[in-house]
Amino acid sequence: MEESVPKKLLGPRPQDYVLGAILVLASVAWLAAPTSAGGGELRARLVHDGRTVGELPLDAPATRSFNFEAGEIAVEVRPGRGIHISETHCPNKICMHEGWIDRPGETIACLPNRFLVEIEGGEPEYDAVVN
Amino acid sequence: MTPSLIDGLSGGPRDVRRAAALVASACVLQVAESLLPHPIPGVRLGLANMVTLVTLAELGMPAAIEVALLRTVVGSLVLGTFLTPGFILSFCGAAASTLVMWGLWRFSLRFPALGPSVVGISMASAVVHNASQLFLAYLIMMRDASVFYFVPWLVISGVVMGWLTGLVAAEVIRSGGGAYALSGGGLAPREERQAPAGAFFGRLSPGARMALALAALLLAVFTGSPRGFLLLASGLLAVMLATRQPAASYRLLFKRLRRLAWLASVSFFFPLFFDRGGAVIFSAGPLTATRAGLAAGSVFAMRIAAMGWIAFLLNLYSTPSEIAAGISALGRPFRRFGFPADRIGAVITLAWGEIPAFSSRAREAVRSVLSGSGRAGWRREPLRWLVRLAAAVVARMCRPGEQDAAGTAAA
Repeated sequence: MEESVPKKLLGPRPQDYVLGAILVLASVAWLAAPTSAGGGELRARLVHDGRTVGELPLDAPATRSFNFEAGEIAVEVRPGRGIHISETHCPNKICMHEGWIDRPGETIACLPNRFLVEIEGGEPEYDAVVN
Repeated sequence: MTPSLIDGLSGGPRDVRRAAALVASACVLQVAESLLPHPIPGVRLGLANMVTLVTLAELGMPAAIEVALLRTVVGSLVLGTFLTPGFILSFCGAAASTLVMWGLWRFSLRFPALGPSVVGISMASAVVHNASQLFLAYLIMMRDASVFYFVPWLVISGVVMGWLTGLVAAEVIRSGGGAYALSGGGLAPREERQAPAGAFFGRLSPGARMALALAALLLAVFTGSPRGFLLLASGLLAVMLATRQPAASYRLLFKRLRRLAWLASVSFFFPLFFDRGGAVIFSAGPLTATRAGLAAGSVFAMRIAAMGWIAFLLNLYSTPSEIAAGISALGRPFRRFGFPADRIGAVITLAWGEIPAFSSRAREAVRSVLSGSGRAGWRREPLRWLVRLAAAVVARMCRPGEQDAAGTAAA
């Protein structure tokens, strides 16, 4: 019965090295790819008057300030909490009272400034709709 | 071993005994491996996979899949882990990796110029083994995509470990000491009840006990709320109290559950820190725990503990031969689809009985190979020396004495 096993299948062949190299390279690529981490990275898109004026990833602390129609307005990103409007000079500061947002699809709008913060990326979370 | 157990089964008694011996030797390798330290969860040598590969190359697919699946069953009976989460993972991993092994082997036989060798096949099947286990862990226990962080590490470890065991498998086949070498008569199955089954479970047939355990497991898999697990746990505790288990049983339960601790803690901490959304509980540097993550992690950890507990009870209330009988009883309705229920029960029972003989035979093989081969080769070519050594041990384990080897050669 042992004769039925071809001799050349009994030791490493070039094919094996190729197969192994492909597998190892694919894993290294997987490790190196930044977006493979559990469902994609979240970003906040900052929109003024329909034009995108900036994009901030939600996993790095950052602040941005702008000068629009109703004066100065600033946003702050804190990993784990999301993004919020940290400072504004519009009349009733509704946007500041909206607090933090961190889920895809959530928005904060400042109407006097015609300014919009919108979270993008990741997988849609339907739980959030129920909430 | 009673003749009635194996006579009249599909394949005949010789075939059943050969299968049982292969299962027993794969099992001894699996158990020996589980005694070695494996500091990184999921990274294993996969020595038992090697027996599957040798069987596939020499006896074909039906024998290989039988050995692959039944050795996980018998191995779990030895370790007392039948139906635990770890067993379910290793059972499905063995099935998936054997299928891939078979596909590649057919390919290599059909296209000898193109196909991978035994070494490459071993590597690919080890990778599939790891990946399928992870995917199953995702499916039945965690359902949290963060487990896929592990994929690259498991693939790389599969490549390395599969390559090494493939070298050994090739050496075993080349030296002609593989699946054909067979032991003589097996030992009688040991009848040892680990704990008194109590009036209630004693009266139930092994098949009914197995069915109860499977139903409880399904309950654990599909329960999604902490309250459900609380109910399940109080039910399990009530069963233990009602059958008047001695304190030793509770201590043993605690010990068994502790073995699942790494699996449970991985499934607890991953969602805890990677689940975005919900109110923040605390954040320390890059780690942020949210309430949603805490809830998900607790459910996963409870699920694993519940599954471990159910499996523990099955192993407590049934002897290994009763479990074998339960498996055949549950499989009997599937006989019309060609499922060899009786044969499987017989192979498990026989292999279980042969394990003590096989482990002492393995120890002897290691000793005689170590004393015979000399250690000079270790300095010149450590890898080749180790591979030769392992191959010689496996070959000798399967071929106990000269007269038995002669007997199988004549047959």
